[in-house]
Amino acid sequence: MSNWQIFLSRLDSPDSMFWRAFEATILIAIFAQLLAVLLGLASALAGRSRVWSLRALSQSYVLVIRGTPVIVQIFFIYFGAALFLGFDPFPQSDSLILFSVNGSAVAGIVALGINDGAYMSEIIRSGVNAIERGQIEAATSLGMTHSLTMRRIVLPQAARVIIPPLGNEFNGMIKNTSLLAFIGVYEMFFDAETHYSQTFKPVPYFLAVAVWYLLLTTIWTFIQGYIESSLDIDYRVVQRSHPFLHRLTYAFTHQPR
Amino acid sequence: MLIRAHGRPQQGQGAHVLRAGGSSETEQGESDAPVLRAADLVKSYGENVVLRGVSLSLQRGKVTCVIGPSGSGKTTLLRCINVLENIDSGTIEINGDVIGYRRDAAGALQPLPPRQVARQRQQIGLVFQRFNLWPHMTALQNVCEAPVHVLGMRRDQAEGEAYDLLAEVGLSEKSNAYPSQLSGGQQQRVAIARALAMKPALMLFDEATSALDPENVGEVLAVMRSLAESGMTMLVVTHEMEFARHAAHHVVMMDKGSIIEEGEAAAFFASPTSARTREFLSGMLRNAR
Repeated sequence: MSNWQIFLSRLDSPDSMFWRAFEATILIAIFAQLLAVLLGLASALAGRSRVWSLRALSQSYVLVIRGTPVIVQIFFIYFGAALFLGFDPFPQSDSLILFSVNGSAVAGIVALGINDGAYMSEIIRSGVNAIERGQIEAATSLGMTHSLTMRRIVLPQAARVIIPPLGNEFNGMIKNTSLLAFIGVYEMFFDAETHYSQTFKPVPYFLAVAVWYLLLTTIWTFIQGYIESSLDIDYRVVQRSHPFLHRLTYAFTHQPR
Repeated sequence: MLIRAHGRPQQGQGAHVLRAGGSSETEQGESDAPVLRAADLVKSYGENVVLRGVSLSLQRGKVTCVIGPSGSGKTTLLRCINVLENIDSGTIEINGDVIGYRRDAAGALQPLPPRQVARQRQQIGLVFQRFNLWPHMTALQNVCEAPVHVLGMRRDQAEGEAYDLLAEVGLSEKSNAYPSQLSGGQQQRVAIARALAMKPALMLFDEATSALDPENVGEVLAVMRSLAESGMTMLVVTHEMEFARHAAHHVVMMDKGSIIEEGEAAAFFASPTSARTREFLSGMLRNAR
């Protein structure tokens, strides 16, 4: 088979191993992004805390993670965690909610989640800062506590500011999953690498996997565009035309009846 | 005609919703005691001393207007009363309770934990110059947010009361509108309803009409006037001399962080004693023409 034929066959009729890798790429990206949002939220809130040590913790987290390469973080967490914890948190087989997965995939999710959490922390922080101080003072003057004000007034509005950059982070996350090949996670890049090492034909396999990444990120770009355009409208219209998105974004503000 | 989703018992005809919530029957006995007593308030930002020992007391059901040039400390005074700013020294008491601080065994003032300060703030309604409505909530949701989440009131009850308050400020038609769909005057009336929903003992107004277009000023002042007539204790920082002249019982003139003159409204405007007050009042009159 020529390079060209190999390339086309990888796009048009990939084997079942590829589809497993494809699925792993998507699931890892989603779980890692969820973890990143949670860590970012915790870090952003800690960064606004009255407690000095929490602010320091948040700042050092962001400083260290943004200041070191993601591949180093992945290696450090996969190989280093056992050393620091005294047990291996990432055994060969592990269960993650419904899926039985390789420990290296869990380590990968944790590493990518921790990495992107630092960026999410900055994104959420700027989203929270975008809320006018007067709105927070109005809540304070009515006897609302700091945490109630965050939950009811600040975060529901900050979500609007946070969602576009969050979409960009997820785009990056899809591509960063390829780095997990280096700790043995069977995702799309590892799949291409395996074929290359068996055939010594790098170009068709790596070009084909590039197209698959491009396909995923392109689909995501459309989804992101849809979400953003629905957020860009005034609140009342959002509620009418996108009931699902409205519930998603303003879940905090609307009470179940 | 606005049809409501759930049945709500109608209030008695002519029942006034705008009311002085703090003056319940239990407190009638001590109605001579001031609602607010501020003593020797000092506040500075770095080198800049904004309040230089301000003392003030508000009688129940009376309206006090604070006038004075920009930078005289009027707004800071309101913000200190609501503990949005910490004071350097002095005391603020609402119905006899020291606000923001407690006295320790030695009688010295210690700051209260934020949660307790939050509870104390429930007694003090504050209306801001820039309304500060929450844009992601409708007028009705803005008004019932604090009763539901701070007081733990049942939502249908809170909505009923919020609806009555909005009707009282003339906005029953707008209860489902978002702030961006309301004019400045309408937003400020929602903000007044929002503060009243907590049934405060005292309402503070921080230049509530200064950010409004001239045609919207009247509707907000009318709401404030009817609130005053209902017997609410009010402290009003304002540049509206007509409002001060007709609605206030008591007028306080501030300049450079101090109260330089105060008195019963009619007497204050008829014959101000201090030269600075006379100069300020004539300046305001010139601008009004």
